[in-house]
Amino acid sequence: MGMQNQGPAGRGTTAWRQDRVPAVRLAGLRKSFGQLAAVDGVDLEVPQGEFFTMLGPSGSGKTTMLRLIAGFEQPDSGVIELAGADVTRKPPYSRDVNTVFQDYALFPHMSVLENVEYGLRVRRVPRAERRSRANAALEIVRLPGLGGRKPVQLSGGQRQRVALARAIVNEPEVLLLDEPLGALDAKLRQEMQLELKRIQREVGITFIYVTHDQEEALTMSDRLAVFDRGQIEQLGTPVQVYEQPATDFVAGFIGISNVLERGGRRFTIRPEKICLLADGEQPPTGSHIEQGRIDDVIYLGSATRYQLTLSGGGQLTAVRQNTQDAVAGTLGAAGQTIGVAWREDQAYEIAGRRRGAAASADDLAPAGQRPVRHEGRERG
Amino acid sequence: MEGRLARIGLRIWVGGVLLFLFVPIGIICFYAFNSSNVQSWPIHGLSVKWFSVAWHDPQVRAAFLLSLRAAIFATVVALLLGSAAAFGVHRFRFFGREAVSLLLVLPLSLPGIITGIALNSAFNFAGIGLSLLTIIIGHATFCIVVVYNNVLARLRRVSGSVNEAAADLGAHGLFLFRTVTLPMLSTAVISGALLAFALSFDEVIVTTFTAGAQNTLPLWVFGAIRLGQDLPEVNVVVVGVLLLTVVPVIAAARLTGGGGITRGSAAGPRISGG
Repeated sequence: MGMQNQGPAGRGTTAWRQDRVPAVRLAGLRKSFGQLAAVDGVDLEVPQGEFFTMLGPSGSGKTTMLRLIAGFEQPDSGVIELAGADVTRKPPYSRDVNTVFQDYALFPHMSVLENVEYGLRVRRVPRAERRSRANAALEIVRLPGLGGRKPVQLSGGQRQRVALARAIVNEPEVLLLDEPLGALDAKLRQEMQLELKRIQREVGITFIYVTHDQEEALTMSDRLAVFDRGQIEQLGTPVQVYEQPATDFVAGFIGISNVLERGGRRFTIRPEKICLLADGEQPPTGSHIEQGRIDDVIYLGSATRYQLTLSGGGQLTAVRQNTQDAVAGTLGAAGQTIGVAWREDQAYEIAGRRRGAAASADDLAPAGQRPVRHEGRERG
Repeated sequence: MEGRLARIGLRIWVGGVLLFLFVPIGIICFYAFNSSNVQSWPIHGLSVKWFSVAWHDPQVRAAFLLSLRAAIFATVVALLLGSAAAFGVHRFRFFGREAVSLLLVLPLSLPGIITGIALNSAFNFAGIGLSLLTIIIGHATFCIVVVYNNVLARLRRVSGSVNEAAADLGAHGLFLFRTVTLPMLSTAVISGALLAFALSFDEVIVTTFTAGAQNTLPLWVFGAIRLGQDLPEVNVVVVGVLLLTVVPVIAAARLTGGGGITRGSAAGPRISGG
């Protein structure tokens, strides 16, 4: 591959990123373990410099995807391209990708600096350059001066950073991250989310990030793919995927799912888009209105969650911010009936139950990408 | 109150057990410095003359050298075969893998007399005369297990992703093995070798059936005691054997963090790391 602009400081960026060739291209990728299809026909393109997330529950095939790209697994069929070059049959050591492992997989018998230098040592980079690049990488992950320590002497968060430095120091085409924050506690995890994002911007390497944590995926990604049963359920920006879930599965996996059926059409609305009407309160114009019985009121601090049963059928979760004039409880307690309203353009039609069990072709076609009209009382 | 009593009682008990284990060894070490050739109490005086006598005894020398050679070769064989077997069982999934694993460990739990007789008749059947070679083969049967167990335990403990990480960073083949796999196994391999050496060096039963006319050091001791001759020299030799076997065992225990000294225990070495 062309290594222009490449020095100790890092990849010379602009020329690279404007390149049309995607960093990763997958076509018809399949991998089975025995009877189980872990990856079941995936096509995907990740452009250079993107922070791309593969989100899904455990067993959805996302980690297998990562291992296929890294070369630890061989696909049964399909093509894997890195920067335009077919690497499908190449072993891990000759692919220009590096991985941050879930358990970090640091070399326990080497110091932090030796760990970070390892990839450069393999490529016979002269000692002095190796040193300075490794130190620069440790600098980027904010661990300067810890090069002499052994991995055992580090905290979990520090090991995480060493693993990251060990990977980015090689300036790979693509960096693969396998649930790298899974072992950290909640506070450290949030801190590292921002750090990862910063580091990714700083080094300009394409990140492919695997997680089962929807919040992580929404906060960090430029784009994400939601995986289920070895297939991509939906591909899009965090806003698209959250606001317009394409399937039941996506709606349920990301955020709270409100799936309703009206007039034979199934659609979803996010809880915070639902307007609960106090006595005599007017809904926003263009709203669809129904009556709902409050089943439960849950106070969450900054917001209050209402569980409702609608007169038109179906159950709904609504979240209302506890702003100055909307304090918890003012809308009434469990058992009362109140007005429930939402804007037509916030309700998105979704495909049938789940893919596979799904629905006819024309049901799938318009899946979720545009608001739908449905019958019901309307106010103008 | 009861807790304190129990604690004191327990200490006395443990002390008693330790005395039971080590007083005989202490006595024999003490007798090695006895100036008289008669073992009677109280001893007549202290002397190191028997050390000199034993050192210059050609029979003791020959036996010592034979033991040393047998132990070294048995250890080398065990290192090669034991490590290879551990790698094979760890890395590959094949039909009968568990059975192979069990068969490898079995010789250690078999009574030595069975191993000995079996080997003896096998050698007879094959027309192989008893020699240093047959001693080495006999010792290798149980030495392999020690190395195998040590290395396998380490392989299982070291996360597989470390090797993957090295490959991911571009390493492969010999470089990967030299820089990552081997360093992470080295203490397990060394401790396995030390234990194998110690086991071989003081082995009596299997050796009895595989040694033919020559004496290893333990066999010489055994013979001397049975005949009631050279008892002062026996004491000295016992002290020597003790040192030669205790030192590697302690070293092995330190290398592996304690787990390795249980013979045949699969619970093995501890590696620092995360």
